[in-house]
Amino acid sequence: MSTETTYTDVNETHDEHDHGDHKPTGFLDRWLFTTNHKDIGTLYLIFSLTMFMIGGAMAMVIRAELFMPGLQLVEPDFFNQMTTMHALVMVFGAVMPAWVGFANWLVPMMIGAPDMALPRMNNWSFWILPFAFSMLLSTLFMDSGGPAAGWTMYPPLVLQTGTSFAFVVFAIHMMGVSSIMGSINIIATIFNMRAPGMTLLRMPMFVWTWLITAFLLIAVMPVLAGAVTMLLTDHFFATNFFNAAGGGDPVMFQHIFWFFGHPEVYILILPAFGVISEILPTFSRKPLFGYSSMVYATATIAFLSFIVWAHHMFTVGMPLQGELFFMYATMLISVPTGVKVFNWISTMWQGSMTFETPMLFAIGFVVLFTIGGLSGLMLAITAADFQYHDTYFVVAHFHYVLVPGSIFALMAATYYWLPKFTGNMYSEKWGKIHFWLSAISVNVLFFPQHYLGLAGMPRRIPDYSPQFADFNMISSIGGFAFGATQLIFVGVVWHCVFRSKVKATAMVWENPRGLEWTLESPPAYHSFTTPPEVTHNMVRHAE
Amino acid sequence: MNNDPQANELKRKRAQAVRTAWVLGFIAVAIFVTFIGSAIFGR
Amino acid sequence: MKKENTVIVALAVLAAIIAATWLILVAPALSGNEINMTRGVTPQSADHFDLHMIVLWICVVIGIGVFTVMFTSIVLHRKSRGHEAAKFSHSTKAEIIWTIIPVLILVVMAVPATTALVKMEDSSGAVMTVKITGFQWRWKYEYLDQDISFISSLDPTSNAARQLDSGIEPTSVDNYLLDVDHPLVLPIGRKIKFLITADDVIHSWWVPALGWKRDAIPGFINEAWTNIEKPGTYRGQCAELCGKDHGFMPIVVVALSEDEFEAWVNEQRTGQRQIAQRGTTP
Repeated sequence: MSTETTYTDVNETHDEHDHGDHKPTGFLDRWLFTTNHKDIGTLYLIFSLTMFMIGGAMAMVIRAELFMPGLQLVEPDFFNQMTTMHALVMVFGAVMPAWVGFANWLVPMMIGAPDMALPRMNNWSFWILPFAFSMLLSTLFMDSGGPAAGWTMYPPLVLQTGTSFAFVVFAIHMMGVSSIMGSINIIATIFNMRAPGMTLLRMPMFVWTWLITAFLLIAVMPVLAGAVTMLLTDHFFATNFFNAAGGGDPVMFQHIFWFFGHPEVYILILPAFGVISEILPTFSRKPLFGYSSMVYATATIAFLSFIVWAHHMFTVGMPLQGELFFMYATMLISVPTGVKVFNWISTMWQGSMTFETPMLFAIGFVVLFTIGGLSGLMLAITAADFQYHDTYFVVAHFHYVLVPGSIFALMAATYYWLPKFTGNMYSEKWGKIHFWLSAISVNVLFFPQHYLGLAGMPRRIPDYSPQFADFNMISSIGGFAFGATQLIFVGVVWHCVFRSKVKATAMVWENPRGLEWTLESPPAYHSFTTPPEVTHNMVRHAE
Repeated sequence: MNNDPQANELKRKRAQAVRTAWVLGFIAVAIFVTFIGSAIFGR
Repeated sequence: MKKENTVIVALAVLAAIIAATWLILVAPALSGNEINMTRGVTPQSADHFDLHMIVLWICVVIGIGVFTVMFTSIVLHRKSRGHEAAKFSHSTKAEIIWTIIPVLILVVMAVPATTALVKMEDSSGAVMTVKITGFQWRWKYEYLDQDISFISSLDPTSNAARQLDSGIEPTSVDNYLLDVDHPLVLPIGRKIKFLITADDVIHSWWVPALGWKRDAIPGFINEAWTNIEKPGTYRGQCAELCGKDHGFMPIVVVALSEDEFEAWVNEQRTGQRQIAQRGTTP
């Protein structure tokens, strides 16, 4: 490992002549041993795109089996493995690493820092992941198959898992360590490495949302680690944490898991909120409306996310006072979330909008995430939830906030910043085609699931009564269309990176704000080795 | 251009960042231990 | 002139959005498929249905309002129309208004939501008790007052059809996946308490027509109650992932008039006594 290439501080002075473009030669040096935030960001993004395809393939198996009543393709146990792994891969392998990838690329540039605070730990945070997911995916090929108790892993059912159990727990531990290290890095970077003049309340919203998300991650990933460790000891070392016969309580697992699980879903969405707050102002040619409100709303959402977990457990037999508290707290989250939606719309209002692909995805996000948020409000009402819980109504809700929510925001971010990262423009025509096909098919896929849930179809079943046939078929068709459409996305990205002849300027778009747009496209391998001067007109917020 | 003060500034920031990182790591481990501990002792 | 323009466009957008709302929330029911929750046959199911409809309507109105503003803006405030961007970027007054109004809406929703929940939790005054136990992958019902007990499993015809590559069309089976060999027979018009538990993993007992579901947790007993107002057959399913045949352990409740129920009870008791005398277990 050659030290000069990863040595980014004092000896950098001579780099000013060649723009600090000392990329390491040699494949391993460049990619296995990298400590460069841009390369590590790229690794995370490639990894997450790959996992998105794998998780998507599992979804295709699910929708193919559910295409018609009757069992045509897979045994029920394998179907349960598919639903379990689909969720684990999408949540921990696709969405979270994608957000970390964008954080790595953008946070240092947005705050005028030369790199992340802890570049070597940054490398480790990434390289743990391919190892963890190889282990997780390999369980599908073990004799008793992969985990099949749902990504929520409730005991006692999860303790019936065969050989794969230890591997799943180990994989989750590793993903958790990766996330915790990544979050520590992000907080340390944001608190300590900002360029002079970049005060906290001048930072872009994407940096704010990631700062808050990083705190959430540090708070809850250890809790998940605790929960799965207790599962491990119950399974192998004769403890009885979740075994009633031994004096334990299966419901306690649910409390611990969802104490992690609810903040986790905000971890999946807060960076998305940040991205939308970056994109809408650029294409509305108007500053973000209510910047400080947006910061406070995000912090409020993060705080509230810790006190609502039991809304995932309304049917478990909680005392009345508990159910009421969680109902009220959950309903309350809609207030700061609504504030954000209203501020986004006010950003657009009286703007001068154009509708390039990032803007299309951002607008799609605001519309469709709002629908998901409204179904979430319905789910908060405990007595009604007695009919919604564990049905396709819940599946519809969380897929709306995750797919046309998080995933659309990830795509918006890709289209918005890929020209900056690569120096090449993507094909606007194919980007728009990708958007429209995705937006239509995602609704064909998930909207009918609201009807299925209300009509009585439970979750996590491989076969169903014929009264549910029509909407399942429509949903499956939407699913196949959505899946196929994402191949267009892969094509657009690949073409942009490797084949596009149209060069991107530094600004790329019309007058975007933020330090990353002051760098050339692509930026130097080591950017901001000298901290930039941050003046008021370079930041978006006119307040 | 005199870059030494800048390099020192960067060094200072880095050292501070490492301290932040240690604190956060400690907090993470503490949360883990608290949860497992409360599950064991809260029986 | 610009203000008039905005109002006209907003009205047009509103009309389009209402049409779209009708298309997605009403039209699909015209296909003969069920798209809404059932009103059910108990006071609780009716309460929960009414609550659901209130919340649904509020959400629909909010959605229509939000999307109307948004799409009006998309139509009017675009560069291609020559619209110049305004400069404003904050308004404390607006932030206060759109914080307070949602809180008020939530308070309005919280009142019926609280009432319904309080009513659901009160299982006192029940005149009979049934113990329900979830197993992998069937239910056991024990009538604690009448001394009857039996296991309820997926009906054999459904079970044969649901096997992978069975060659049997699901549509050819009556009540495919929603039929059992021994239904839970209950009287109408009586407050019945349920004690719900499980033997192995967590299951969940759910009959939509009764209006609720409750988890069946090994080592713990959950209480619930019902009061069925109409005779009939009501079908439900297990609602908590419990292993490979989670989708194949349905629930059937047959609600009979008082007399018919008593007749059934006697029949069961005679039958079980005969089996006990013969020395075999049911």
